[in-house]
Amino acid sequence: MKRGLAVALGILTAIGGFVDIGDIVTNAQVGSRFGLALVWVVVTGVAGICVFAEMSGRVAAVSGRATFDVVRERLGPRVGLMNLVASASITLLTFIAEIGGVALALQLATSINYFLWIPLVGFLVWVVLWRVKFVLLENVFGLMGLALIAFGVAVWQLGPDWGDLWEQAAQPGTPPGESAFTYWYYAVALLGAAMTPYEVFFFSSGGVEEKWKTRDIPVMRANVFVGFPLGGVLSISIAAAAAVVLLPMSIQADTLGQVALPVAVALGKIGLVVVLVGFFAATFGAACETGLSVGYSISQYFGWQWGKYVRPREAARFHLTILLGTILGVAVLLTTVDPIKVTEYSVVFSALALPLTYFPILVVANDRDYMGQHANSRTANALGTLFLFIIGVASLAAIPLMVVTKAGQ
Amino acid sequence: MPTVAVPPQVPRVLRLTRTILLVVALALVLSACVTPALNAADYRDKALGSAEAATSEVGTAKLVCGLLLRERVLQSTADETLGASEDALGSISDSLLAVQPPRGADPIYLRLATQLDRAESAVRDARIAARRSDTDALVDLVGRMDTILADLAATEELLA
Amino acid sequence: MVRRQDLSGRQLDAALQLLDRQIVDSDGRMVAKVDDIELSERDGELEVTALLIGPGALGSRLRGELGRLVTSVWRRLRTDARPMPGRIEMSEVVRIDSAIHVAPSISELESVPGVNGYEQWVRQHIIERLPGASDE
Repeated sequence: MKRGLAVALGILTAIGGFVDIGDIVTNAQVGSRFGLALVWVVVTGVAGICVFAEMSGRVAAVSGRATFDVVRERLGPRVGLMNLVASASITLLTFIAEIGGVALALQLATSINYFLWIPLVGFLVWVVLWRVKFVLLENVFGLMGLALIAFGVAVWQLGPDWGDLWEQAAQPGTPPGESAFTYWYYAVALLGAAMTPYEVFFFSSGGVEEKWKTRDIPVMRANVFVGFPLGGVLSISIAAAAAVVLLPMSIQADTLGQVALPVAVALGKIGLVVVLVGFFAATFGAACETGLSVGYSISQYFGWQWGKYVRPREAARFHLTILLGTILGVAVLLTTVDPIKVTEYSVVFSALALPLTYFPILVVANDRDYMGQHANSRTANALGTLFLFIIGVASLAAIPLMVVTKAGQ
Repeated sequence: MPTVAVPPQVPRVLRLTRTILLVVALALVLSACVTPALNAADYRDKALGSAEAATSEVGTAKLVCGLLLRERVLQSTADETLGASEDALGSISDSLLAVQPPRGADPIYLRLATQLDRAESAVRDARIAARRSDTDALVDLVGRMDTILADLAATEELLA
Repeated sequence: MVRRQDLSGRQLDAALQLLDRQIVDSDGRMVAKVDDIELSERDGELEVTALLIGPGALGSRLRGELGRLVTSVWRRLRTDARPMPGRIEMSEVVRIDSAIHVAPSISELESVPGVNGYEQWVRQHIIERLPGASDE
């Protein structure tokens, strides 16, 4: 019974914790411009993150080593360092976007300008990372993030033409007025948003924080294979809400306020409040995850003690990294850069960096010296290779598409 | 101090990184630039983009006004969303005005500039009415925005 | 300096296996990465005598401009005339799996100069000055 509850809690937090500012913004943009014509990308991305999160979780459970630990071991110090610089910068960019997202959500709820919120949000994120227990952090924001289910309820309440929605999703194509390049640009962005590299850094490091052992693999798999796809359904419901309400009115979702409007249309003030809570939880939770991930990846490369399972003084450089990352993030946001723009760039650059993260995971998960009988099965390898190919193509296409479409304009 | 010495190697990876960084930097610069319009076709594209963006903002404002009238939106969210649309319309006009219209494009330019002006002032009035909870004004504004949206749609048709 | 050709393939393999692995203390606390290894000749055979850690060891393995930069910055930051990278004797290694387990605790290891100096500096001067640094 108790174990069942623990599994259920794990799955629920995996669902609520799946969506972050990148998913929210990109899905709403795509839904408002292309309807459901890009849902197949979200499905692909979620399948991809499941395959690789399971591998990285398995490596963590069997060997006690998190992703960046093995990145350096496999790639050597030099290539490993370049990988670290790329991955940590993109995670930092995502971290900045998340803090901005929290501030924007608070602005929508209070009418107080988001600039005033940024330093406070930065401070709160740091306090949480400094003081709050890992499990508590994961559970509270994961469960609160479930408030985003309001998007699904809204779509259902709006009573759309389901046949039409199904057709949009099943027979994808470029809608009139959009070029094929923009279509594929947003496909890459959606893939980057769904498969953001920090998710596996965080997931595998979290496994070490929670001291997973080989016997925890089934629970980990339940979280991944049930929780992540349901989290993906939340992403799709954001796109669907935008497709049903905003697309017919030719509204492009460029602000967080526009993303929330379909829920207000369907469910009124209460629904809107629930969505704002969901925005806050999803972005704040993701800010914590990305902030930690910056610390995790850098510490793991250099071999420093890291993690929230020890006292801060025992992981001094890890906590210093997080502190500096937070200060830098707040400073960047205070330059008046638009958090939504930062988000857009962060998902495309994530797509660019995907192979850097996922290739070493595939290699290590295959290493029998390391993994013993828990090394990759044929299925896992076939899927891993397939997704590596897909993200390789997306990675190569990311920058050219960005230039051609002027970042999706 | 004995260590494993590794024969020196051409840092090909480093060169590759440099190239990648350069490409990324270039991409950022290119994507951030507003290209000046060179010929009539480019100008029409630019104008079409502005009209579509304006439609999106006016549509948002109209949606919010409707929600306010039915009491389905929080005051703060309505306020912020209207404010954001007003700002966005301001920058749409600014970026259109920054482009030199080519010869013969004056009708398009004048038509669109007027529509953008009307759009911006309607959204501004909506923000003011929303803060005052002025229902009558909001009802009026929904009508005004409908006209503006129809005009913008006509412009888009003309340019497409 | 030991050149690569002086080592038999198998020996080199074994030595390289140690590189870039995580060193873990008796309590499972993370100590450092194996940034380099020290090889010595004993009875005509080469063996690994110590694990070298810290930027002083990592710099030489990064090679090129970057490696030189790391090494020279590390040298500047050290007060001793001939700074040596931190070392952990191979005799202290008790087990090697996905990590390298050593017998001493991290505090014993850190009492040796050159081992985790920056960690200790950051702990003393920054982290411990913040409230709650020692709370569970």
